[in-house]
Amino acid sequence: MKAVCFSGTRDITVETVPDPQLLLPTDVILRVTSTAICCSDLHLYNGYNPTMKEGDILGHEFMGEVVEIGSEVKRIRRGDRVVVPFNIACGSCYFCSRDEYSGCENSNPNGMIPAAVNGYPAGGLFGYSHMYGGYAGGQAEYVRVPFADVGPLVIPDGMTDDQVLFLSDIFPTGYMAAENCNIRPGATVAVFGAGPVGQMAALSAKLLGAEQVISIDSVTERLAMAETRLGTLTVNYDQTEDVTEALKEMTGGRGPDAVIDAVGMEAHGSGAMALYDRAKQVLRLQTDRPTALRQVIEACRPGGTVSIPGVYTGVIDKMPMGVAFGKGLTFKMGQTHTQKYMSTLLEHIVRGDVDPSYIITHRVSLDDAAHAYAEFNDKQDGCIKVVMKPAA
Amino acid sequence: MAEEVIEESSVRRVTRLATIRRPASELFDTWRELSRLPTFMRHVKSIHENGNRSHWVVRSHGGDVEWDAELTINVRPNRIAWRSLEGADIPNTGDVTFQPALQGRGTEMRVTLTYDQPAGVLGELMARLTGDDPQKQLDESVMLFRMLLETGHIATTDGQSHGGPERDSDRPVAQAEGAHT
Repeated sequence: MKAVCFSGTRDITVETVPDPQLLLPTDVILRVTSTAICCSDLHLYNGYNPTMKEGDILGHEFMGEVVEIGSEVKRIRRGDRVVVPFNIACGSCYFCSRDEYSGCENSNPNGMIPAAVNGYPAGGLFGYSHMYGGYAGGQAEYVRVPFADVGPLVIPDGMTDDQVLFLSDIFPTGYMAAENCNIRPGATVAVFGAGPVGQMAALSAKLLGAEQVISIDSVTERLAMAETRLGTLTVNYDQTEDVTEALKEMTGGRGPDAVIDAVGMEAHGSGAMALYDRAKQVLRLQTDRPTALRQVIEACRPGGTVSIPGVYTGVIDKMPMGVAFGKGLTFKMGQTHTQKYMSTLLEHIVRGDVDPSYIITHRVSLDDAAHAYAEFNDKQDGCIKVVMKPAA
Repeated sequence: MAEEVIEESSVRRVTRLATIRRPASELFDTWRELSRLPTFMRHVKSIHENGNRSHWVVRSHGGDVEWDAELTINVRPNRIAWRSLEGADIPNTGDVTFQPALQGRGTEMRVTLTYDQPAGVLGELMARLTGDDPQKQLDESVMLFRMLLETGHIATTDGQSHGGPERDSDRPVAQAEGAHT
């Protein structure tokens, strides 16, 4: 089969590799019909994860048709059309039993690597480095899906791939970020980052009853998309002297009730602190650039909530902890418990409450993956979300 | 000056506590069937049982190491323990206890292993036997034990497809630009 492989920093190759096999009786094999490139794939693309190996198959946002099933699989049948959550969960451990699927203790065969680094054995992820299990990803014609009775969600007839594909990651991720905001009637939610997760967070904040949603970014296409498709207010931080002040202007002088950091550790930002962060990261004095996180803390109203779906992996410094304490902020963050949200969000899509497919800007074949990664990374050509159709 | 032989020895002790969502009796029975231990203790190649005694073959960097052991405690479902018999290169013991966890959360299992290191051979033999870190070896065994008991299988990617160079061992870890950790 054809598969999109990591060959080194900013080096993607499409290779012909053996078709996947069932390795455990709880596995299924999918023929992939749609797969997307995620912003977090760019962390790998840009060489931020030292446990990637040459030849690793990428991709954690995918769906397809079940073509083979293991002998112990009960819930899924051959021929089912399923969307697969990006994180792999066993369904049996303490964390899975509490719907805290991203903490799964049994899905990562290399759990000792994150345990040695962070003190806990993070769960497995598809196509996302050896510290998260080294599982082959779904940017391929076929993919092996372990714990098939736990993760994959069967899609009813009549739905297109584009409508439901983002149940695999960014829609639940944005939704959990919004849910973490504890939205009450009349609330204003500000979302830093209007990329795919920022879009889904803004959409979800509206779905959960926020009266006013503000999107903050510097990429005009993203802001225009949020404004026209979701009806959010927008702030372009490149054209705004003081984002915190701008947000106060829009919220009666107090600041938003909740602020979402949908940017994470590779923030660009502007100003002196952004330059400081970039320099320190290059010198490896800190692993993450917390430019967005600082702004989020400064922007949030006293007593408000900071919600962080943007990915952080290491240590940061110069955090305005005194401001956070003084305001009495609540912090909520973490890897998405995707399985917890998928069926609820599918219902919203089926009912027509939302249609996440609006974020797709580019459709390419697997063969064009290298070009698509480069274009997405450089945000060229209005590139916001790339979907590949391996079966087409 | 006559050569002085120091006869001191030191005991290296490693322990791990874990809560596993299965009844104590099931955990105990899995440990009691010593021949199954290599399923989740990757450094153990084989264990053959003969009544209260057992013969252990353990992988090490310098070739296999073998010893005989005997059960010292066998109280279902609370505790199982063993110790190596006279003649083992590194005398060692194992002790596993099982207690009901709070609020029906399964069973608290504590595994304790000791290695009696005669002075002088300490570094070399210990490294041969346990790799760099006996604690890490035990932690991994407990992690795999949990997978086996809670899901019925040990999660794996062995045998999956990948691109790049042919054999896994040849596949280089990518050069990191920004350190992840």
